[in-house]
Amino acid sequence: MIFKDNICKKIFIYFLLILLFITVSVSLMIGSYTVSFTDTLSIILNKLFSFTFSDYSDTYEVIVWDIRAPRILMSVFTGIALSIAGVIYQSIFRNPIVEPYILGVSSGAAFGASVGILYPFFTLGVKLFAFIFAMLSLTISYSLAYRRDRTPIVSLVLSGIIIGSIFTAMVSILKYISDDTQLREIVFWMMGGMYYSSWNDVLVNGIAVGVIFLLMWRLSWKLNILSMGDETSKSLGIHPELYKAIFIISATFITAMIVSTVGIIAWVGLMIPHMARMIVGADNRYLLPTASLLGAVYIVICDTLARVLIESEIPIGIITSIIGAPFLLWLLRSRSGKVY
Amino acid sequence: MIEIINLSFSYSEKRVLDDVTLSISKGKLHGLLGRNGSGKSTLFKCCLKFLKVSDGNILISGDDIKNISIKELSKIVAYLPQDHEQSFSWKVKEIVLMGRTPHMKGVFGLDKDDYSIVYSKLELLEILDLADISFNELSGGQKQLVMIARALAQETSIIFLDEPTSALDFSNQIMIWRMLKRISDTGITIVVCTHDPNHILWYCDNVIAIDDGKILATGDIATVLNEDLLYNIYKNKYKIEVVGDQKIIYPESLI
Repeated sequence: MIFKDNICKKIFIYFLLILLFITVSVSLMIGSYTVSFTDTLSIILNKLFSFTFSDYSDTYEVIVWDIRAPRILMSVFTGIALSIAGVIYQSIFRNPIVEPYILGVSSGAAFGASVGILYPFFTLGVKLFAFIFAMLSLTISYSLAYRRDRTPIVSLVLSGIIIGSIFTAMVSILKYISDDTQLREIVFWMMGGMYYSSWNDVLVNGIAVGVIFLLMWRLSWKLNILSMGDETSKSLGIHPELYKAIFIISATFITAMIVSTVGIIAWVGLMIPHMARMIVGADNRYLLPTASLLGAVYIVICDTLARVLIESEIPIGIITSIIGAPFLLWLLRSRSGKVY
Repeated sequence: MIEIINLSFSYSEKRVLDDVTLSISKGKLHGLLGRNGSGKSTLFKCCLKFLKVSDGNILISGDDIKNISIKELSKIVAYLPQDHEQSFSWKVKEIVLMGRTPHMKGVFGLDKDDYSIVYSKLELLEILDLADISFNELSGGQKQLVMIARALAQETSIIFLDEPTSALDFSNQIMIWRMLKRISDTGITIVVCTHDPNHILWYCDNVIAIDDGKILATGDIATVLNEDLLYNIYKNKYKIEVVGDQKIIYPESLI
């Protein structure tokens, strides 16, 4: 005998998979040039299996395979990564309104990536610096808050805010000393966007996000227990400090990967876990896949809007903020402060 | 059977437990009595390995808990914290299912038997109808019953409860104590920390009185829980009298 509603949750996850497939297909077809469904399918089959059934032009191939496909897949991984990070931070800190920025992780990653842009010593330097500084900001926040085998949430959030603002200030210093081209690059990158995405980015981020997702899903029951607090975790046989470290490092790692590739995309880590929780509840065994797929669909839609709304492109970070900030307000007001 | 031998514990400079030696017998309902800050919670936390014991030993069925991992310990001892507000909207059955964590196996760790155990414990505590309700929407008494169901789902031989009735109305307090009595009658050892000596007088088999980190007295209610002990604990005079067929504790002077 298992819980009957769990079967409905599974069905809903399959539904989201289909929805993601449809969203990605439509997004491949639309843009400045509309490519027909047959041509799109033919281009993809040709690239993947050297099998083709329609006579499309080379321009369409460049548009679908070289321009749209990588940025759409990058959107999928971005949605998955930011949603997983949101779910993990919210569960670990037992606070439904924290998001990947609360620990200063994103500001740390942003600073690291800016250093990488300013001093391009080697390939993947931007990613590496982003991860190093994200981990650094996390370590500082965590050790500032750590007292006698415990990490009180209030201290953690406070130290996160302090570390975050220090790194934000340091990004401003970097902007101040950078030349015009670099400044433009930093500013544009920080607004967030998928336009730079290459197949190489897709591969690197895809592997990272895939591995972390599987690991987190495998440990999702332990995440449920951790959200009950340290003492309850211990009394149920789960070592809180060890597993908190595994979860936080994994979430920070994928946040840094994504931030260094597509810039800061705000609100997703807050909004998507909430929506997913409203549908499937708090059990992370179902919440993690639901939030991941929902996040992927959401980012693909936002990125497509960024491409098609006006002639030139709107940075996606602006779109997610415009939708996300009022969403939080609606969430808080409509449920009179009672958040899922 | 829990044996505590020469246990001392200090937070920084402050000594909270001072050379405590104590034996908690199997299958009985034990009440832990003491003023605020007397060391009750610290004693609990030492037994549950929340705090690291350096001075003294705690033995459970003859094994020192220093040699028992927290995973193994969670199969022997269950714990009900005083505060169990949830940040997220969990269903009652999901909360109770968490009690199965120490017995996890397989990919996600839970199998069909675990779900059956959840329903049987909810049925035992007569709250099966609450299974699909959000935990945060329950009344205080119902929440406490759900937490007890979670402890039972853990299938341990010992349960520690930290002030389970402190936030409840009078009828819910009695309801919880009746339930605890019923559970202890099935052979589970229960240790309850409480601030109401009447509850201990009415429902417990044994009392453990603690003051300033030292054990004042321990033993069965009829011989140990008397007016002198109450004076030693609370530093005020209390009377124990028989009313009808019940004993009752009340302050000697109301002003």
